[in-house]
Amino acid sequence: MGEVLSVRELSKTYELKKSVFSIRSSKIRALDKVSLKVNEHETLGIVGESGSGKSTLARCVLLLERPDLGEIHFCGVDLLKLKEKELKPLRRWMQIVFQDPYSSLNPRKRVIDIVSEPILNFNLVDKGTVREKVKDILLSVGLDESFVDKYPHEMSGGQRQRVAIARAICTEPSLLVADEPVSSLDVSIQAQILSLFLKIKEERKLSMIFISHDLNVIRFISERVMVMFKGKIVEEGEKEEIFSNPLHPYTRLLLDYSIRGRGRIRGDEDKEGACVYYGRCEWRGKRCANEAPLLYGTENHRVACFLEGTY
Amino acid sequence: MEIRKLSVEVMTETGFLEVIKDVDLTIDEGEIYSLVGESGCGKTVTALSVLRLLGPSFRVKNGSVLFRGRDLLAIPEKEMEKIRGREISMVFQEPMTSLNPVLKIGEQTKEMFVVHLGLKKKEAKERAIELLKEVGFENPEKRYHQYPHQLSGGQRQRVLIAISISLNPKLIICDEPTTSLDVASEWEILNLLLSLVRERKMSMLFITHDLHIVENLSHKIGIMYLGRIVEEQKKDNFFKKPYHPYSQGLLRSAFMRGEKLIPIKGSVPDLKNVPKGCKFHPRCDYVMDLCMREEPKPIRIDDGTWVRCFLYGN
Ligand SMILES: Nc1ncnc2c1ncn2[C@@H]1O[C@H](COP(=O)(O)OP(=O)(O)OP(=O)(O)O)[C@@H](O)[C@H]1O
Ligand SMILES: Nc1ncnc2c1ncn2[C@@H]1O[C@H](COP(=O)(O)OP(=O)(O)OP(=O)(O)O)[C@@H](O)[C@H]1O
Ligand SMILES: [Mg+2]
Ligand SMILES: [Mg+2]
Repeated sequence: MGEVLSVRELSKTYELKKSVFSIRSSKIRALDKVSLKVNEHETLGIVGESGSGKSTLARCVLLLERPDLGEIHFCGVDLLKLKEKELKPLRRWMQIVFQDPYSSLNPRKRVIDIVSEPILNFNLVDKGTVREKVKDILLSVGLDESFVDKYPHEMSGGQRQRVAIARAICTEPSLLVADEPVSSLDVSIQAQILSLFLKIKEERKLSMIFISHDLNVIRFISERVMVMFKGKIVEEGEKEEIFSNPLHPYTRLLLDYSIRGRGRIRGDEDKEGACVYYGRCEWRGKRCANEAPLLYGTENHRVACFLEGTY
Repeated sequence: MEIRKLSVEVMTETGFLEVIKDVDLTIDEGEIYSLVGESGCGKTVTALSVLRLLGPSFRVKNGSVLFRGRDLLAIPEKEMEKIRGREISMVFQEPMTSLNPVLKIGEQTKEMFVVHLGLKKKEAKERAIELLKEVGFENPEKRYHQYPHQLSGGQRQRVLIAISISLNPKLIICDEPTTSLDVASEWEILNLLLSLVRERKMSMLFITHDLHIVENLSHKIGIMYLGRIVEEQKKDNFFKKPYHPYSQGLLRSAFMRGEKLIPIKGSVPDLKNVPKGCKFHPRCDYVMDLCMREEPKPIRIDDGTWVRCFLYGN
C-alpha cells in the first residue's frame, strides 16, 4: 500500500494573552511533534478529549492553518515548501467535513450552489452539465433530486451533513478529513452517516482521517487508531491491537469508561518537563515527573509510556 | 411520583402544536427511571412540567402529576415553591443554569440553608463544607473560597449537584447532566449520582439520549419518540429484549452489541409535520396499514413492561 500522507514532527503553539491589557501571555502547545502516516484506502481514527489538539491537527494537515514546525508530505509532495499559488490546485485532492453542519454550510446558498462551487472552481465539468453532476453526487450520499434547490435551514442536521459530505467528495479527493462529523447528530442519524462514510470510502477508494472523542465510533470506522492527549500522541497502532491490548494508562481509562462504563481518575496538574499524562496518571513514578517518554514500539503498536517493558 | 396522561402544547405562529402526548410515568421510592430519546422528543418539556417551570408559550392540555398524594399541577404556586428544591430538585445540563460567576462556591452552596432553613451564617457554612465533601471534594474548605471559573466542568457539575441535594429532596431530576463533559468526568459524575441516590434513598428521573449510560445506571427505562413514551421496561429486560421497533433500532444504532451497526432509515420529523397514526410508522420496517391510520395505545406485555405498537397484543 502506498502512502498518501506522511506528517513529521508537526508542532503548533498558540499564544493566549492573560488579559486585554497584559503583556504577559501563556503558551498552549496544541500540537507537540506529532508524526503520522495514512496509507492508500486506509482510515486513521484520532481520539482524544476536548482540547487535545485534534482539530488543530486537522487544520494544519490541510494547511488551513500553518504549523510552526514540521513536514507534511502529501502523495510525495512537501506541502510546506509550496507557495499558496502552487498549493491551490492540490487542494482538490484533500477535503474536509466539519462537526457542525449548521455553521459549515452557507445559509444563503442553495444545495446546488454549495456542491457545485468546488466543481466549478477546479474546472471539473463545464457549466452546462454541472447540475447533472451535482444530482449524481447527492444521490450517492442518499439525497434525492428534491434537495437540489433547498436551503440549509430547510434540512435536518443529518441531511445537512450529507450535503457537507457531498461537497467534500465532489472533487474526487484522495484524502478526506472528517472532524467529529457525527458528534452533533442524534444516535439514529449518527449511525446513518457513519455507514455513509464507510460506503463512500469503499466506492471511491478514499483515505480518511476520522476524528472523534467517541471510542465506539473510532472502533467502527478505522483501521488504525491514534490516541492524543494534550497535543501529543500517547499511543498509536492497528485498531484491533489498540482495542485488545491497550498499553497507555489514558487509553485504558478511555476504554474502561466508554466500553465498560467504569473507572477512576485523579486530579489534573501540569508539570513542566514531565510526561503529558503525569497529572492524571494512577501509575506515575519518579521518572515520569522529570522526563517525557517518546513514542516507542513497532509499526503495529507504539506507546509513549515509561511503564512499558520496552523502556 | 406518578405522571398520568400528561399532554403539553406549545404556541407557535401557526397555532398550538402538541409537544408531549399522554405521557405516563411512575417512579417508585429509591428508583432510578431513565427517560431516553433523541433531540426534540420532549424529554426536557416533561421534566419542566413536573416542576411547573415551563415557559409562557407552553400550556398543559391535560394530565396530572401525583407526588406524595397531591397533584402538583393543581396546587397553588405558593405550595409549589415549597416543593421545588426541597422535595423535588433538578440538575440541568451545565450551560443552562451554570453557577453565578461572581459569587464564591461557598456563598452559592450555603444559600439554600440560609434561605430555606434559616440557618445562621456559621452553621450554614459548616453544612455547606460538609456537603462539598460529600460530593467528593478532597479539600472542601479551599473550594468554599473559590470562584466557579477556577473549577473544571466536572467540578462545577459537582457543586450544582451539592446544591440540588442540600435540602434532602425525595426526587432529583437530572436533565442530561453530563453531555458537556468528557468521558472520564462523565462517569465520575454518574458514579457520584448513583451513590448519592443510594445513600440518601432518593428517587431519580434521569434524562439522556445515551444508552450506554442507561445500561449502567437505571432500574427502569422509558423510550420517548415524538412526545410519546413508546416503551417502558425494567432495565435488564429492555437490553435483553426491546419490543418497540424504534427501541430495537436505537440499540442497533448505538454500538451496544459488538460492532454491527444497522441504522434506522429516515429522520425525525418536526412538530409541524407529525405523521398520522403511529408516529414512528414512516421509519418502521414492520409497518402495517393499521399503523398509518391509528395511534397504538399502551399494550401491557408483563409486569413492568408495556409498549405502544400494533405488533403486540392482538
Ligand atoms: N485559534 C486558537 N487560538 C488560541 N488557542 C487555540 C486556538 N485553536 C485551538 N486553541 C487551543 O489549542 C488546544 C487544542 O485545541 P483543538 O481545538 O485542536 O482541540 P480538539 O482536540 O479539537 O478539542 P475538541 O474535542 O473540543 O474539538 C486547546 O487548548 C485550544 O484551546
Ligand atoms: N419555546 C419553545 N417554542 C416552541 N417549541 C419549543 C420550545 N421549546 C421546545 N420546543 C419544541 O418542543 C419539542 C420538545 O422539546 P424538548 O426540549 O422537550 O426536547 P428534548 O427531548 O429535551 O431534546 P434535547 O435532547 O435536544 O434536549 C421540540 O420539538 C422543540 O422544538
Ligand atoms: Mg475539535
Ligand atoms: Mg432537553
